[in-house]
Amino acid sequence: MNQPITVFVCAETPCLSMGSDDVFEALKAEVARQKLTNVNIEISGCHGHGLCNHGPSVVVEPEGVFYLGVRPEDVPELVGSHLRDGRPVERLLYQEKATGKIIPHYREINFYKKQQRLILRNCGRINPEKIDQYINVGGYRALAKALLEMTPIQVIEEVKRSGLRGRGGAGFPTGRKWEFGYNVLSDKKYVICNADEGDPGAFMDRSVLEADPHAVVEGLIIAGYAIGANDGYVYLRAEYPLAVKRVSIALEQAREKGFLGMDILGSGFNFNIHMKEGAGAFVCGEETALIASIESLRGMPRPRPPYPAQSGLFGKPTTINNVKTLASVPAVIDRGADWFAGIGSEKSKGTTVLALSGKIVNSGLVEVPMGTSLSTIIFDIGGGIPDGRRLKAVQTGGPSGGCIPARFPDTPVDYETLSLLGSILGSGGMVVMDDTTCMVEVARYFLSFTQAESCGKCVPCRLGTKQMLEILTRITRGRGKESDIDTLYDIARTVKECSLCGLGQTCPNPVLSTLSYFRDEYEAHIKKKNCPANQCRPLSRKASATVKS
Amino acid sequence: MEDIVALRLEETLRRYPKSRSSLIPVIQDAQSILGYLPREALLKVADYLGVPASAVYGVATFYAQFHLTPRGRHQVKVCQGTACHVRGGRSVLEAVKTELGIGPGETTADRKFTLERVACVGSCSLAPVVLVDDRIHGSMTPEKFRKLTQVSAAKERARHRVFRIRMVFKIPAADTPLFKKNAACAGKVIPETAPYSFTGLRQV
Repeated sequence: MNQPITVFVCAETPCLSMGSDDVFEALKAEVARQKLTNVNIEISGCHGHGLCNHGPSVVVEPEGVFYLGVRPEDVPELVGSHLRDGRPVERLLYQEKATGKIIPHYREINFYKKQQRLILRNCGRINPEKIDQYINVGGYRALAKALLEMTPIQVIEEVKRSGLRGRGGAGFPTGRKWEFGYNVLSDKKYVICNADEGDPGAFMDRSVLEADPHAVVEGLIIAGYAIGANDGYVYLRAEYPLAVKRVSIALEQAREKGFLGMDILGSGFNFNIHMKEGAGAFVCGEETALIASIESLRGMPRPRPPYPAQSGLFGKPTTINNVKTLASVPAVIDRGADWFAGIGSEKSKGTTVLALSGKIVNSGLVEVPMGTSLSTIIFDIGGGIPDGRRLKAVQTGGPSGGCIPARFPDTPVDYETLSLLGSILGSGGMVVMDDTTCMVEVARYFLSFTQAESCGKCVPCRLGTKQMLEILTRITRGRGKESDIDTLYDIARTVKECSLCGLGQTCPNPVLSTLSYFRDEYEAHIKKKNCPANQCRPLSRKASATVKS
Repeated sequence: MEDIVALRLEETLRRYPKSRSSLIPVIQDAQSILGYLPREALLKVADYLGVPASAVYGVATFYAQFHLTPRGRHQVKVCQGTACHVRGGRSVLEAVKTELGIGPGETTADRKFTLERVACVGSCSLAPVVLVDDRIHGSMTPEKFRKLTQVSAAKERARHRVFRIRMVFKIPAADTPLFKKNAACAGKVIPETAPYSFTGLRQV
């Protein structure tokens, strides 16, 4: 038993909230007490088995045995029995609900097995606070390759050939974006990593930054090299304190190792990264609002053109990429464009990370090739709907997206198909809804969010969201009028076409998509004063009262 | 504002260049020292950065992170993100409102709790969640929250006792090392966040 063993204790927000830090300390103390010299205890990001609600989780590598719900009092047994004597502690292993079978290795769990991990390649495998572990798994190899063997144009060509598209939502080809940035002549250029993940129901950026911050840092340096910028910014939500901490540590370590600063790896390229904490405004995920926020102004979008690629931060050309896009870049450079382009569907290459949550058995981050069908994601990976309920709809893309009804189970998840169905892939939030979810209420919920987050600069968005919210609230309270559906259509179209920025242009999507797929529910609310899902309280109470009498 | 607080604010200001673009980091720092952004602090920041007070006010009121009124000692944030919403976040919010007797954005009369509704803290797998002072409590139910406030009330009482003892010792007497270090604060309570160690106490 002298083979080196590494024990990874998940130290991401959900597991930490269940006390994984105490488990980590207990493990370290116990291993020292039992004098096991071949055992190394490390913190890590999420192990990605979709069981975050049963944490804290612990993985023993290289075997890949994983434990769930570990408490500090279980630690002596775990160390004595497994780490010393090689006998896994059965009662802490994962038991598959449907079959009752015990599955000791996380690689054999359906949730994990059916995924293809590219952006999340290092999550749960390395200690995010140690740069050496990132380098050991091939980190910063792509940076060396780009800086020492490739010209900026070659880097851009490679990214273009890979077909990588922006993972922030709009899906703009990254290579083309970089080409614009490269072609603008200026004495000063900036690259920004947009980590202002504000979509409710999306947590993949948080996870990537907490579990593998160096991948994003490396991607940002390569982006800077490609477009010829010497300064980069990471704009991170202040609501993610742990991510802020991990990125700061990563930046410091990268500086120490010479991956940031002057003359990186002897290539003559200088690059620095600054960290900016967002102050809590959803609209700052929009690129011009984000720039305003970095400049310490009110985070309000401005009309484009000029695009940030021509005039962005401090009036200089600026290229903005999402966390997951940047985390993909090292993989593209390292393993080549052809390899990357071989994954995914025809127009959408690579993988997508989805944050699966809501009424689903296994919730967590899922990374699948683009074009994987909805049913694979929900039933094979997600384990289906709990409590024997029926799938009703899947909401994708957060408040900018729409609801896809259960009657399209074979929908391939990629940019084109989802937008054809009136939704968007967006940042990748995927909230599953069962038959107890009222779709009118869902639309009202999203409007209440966008109405509160509308910055108020342009009229269609400021007034339109308010009017739509009022109508939807009225309908869910049982005071809907027959003309309301038409009025909603009217306002939604106006807001969509006339708003200044992405927030306004996409915020009617939840209304429009529920109207087109679940019109019967709207009509039941308005005409029969009845909520089919029994969710809207004034209506359901009224209905039950009639039954009683 | 107390002098010592003003001093610390000025110290913070001096670390930033006098430019418009330091505004947000400056008020983020100011708020972490003061707990909220009183009028005087905003005016001071405006004065230092050479920015109109109206612009400072504009930024401070635009972002959800900034508060212009005093906050409770504990921040209770009820998540209303999509996943929390479909898994009963609304009834949790209702329960929290009744339990604390305040609405979102309000602070209890004893300044103990401030209630806020937030949209997604990125822990959707634990939905519905409630944050109490940055600690996430997952799979929340109305009953679970009631228990939580009871526990926190007990902890608070315990902490209060410790706090009172500390306050006594935090007043430096004349001719002690602590007094020499902070001569200006002699006889005053030093509102420092770092708790004094017992060795420190003995020095006093």
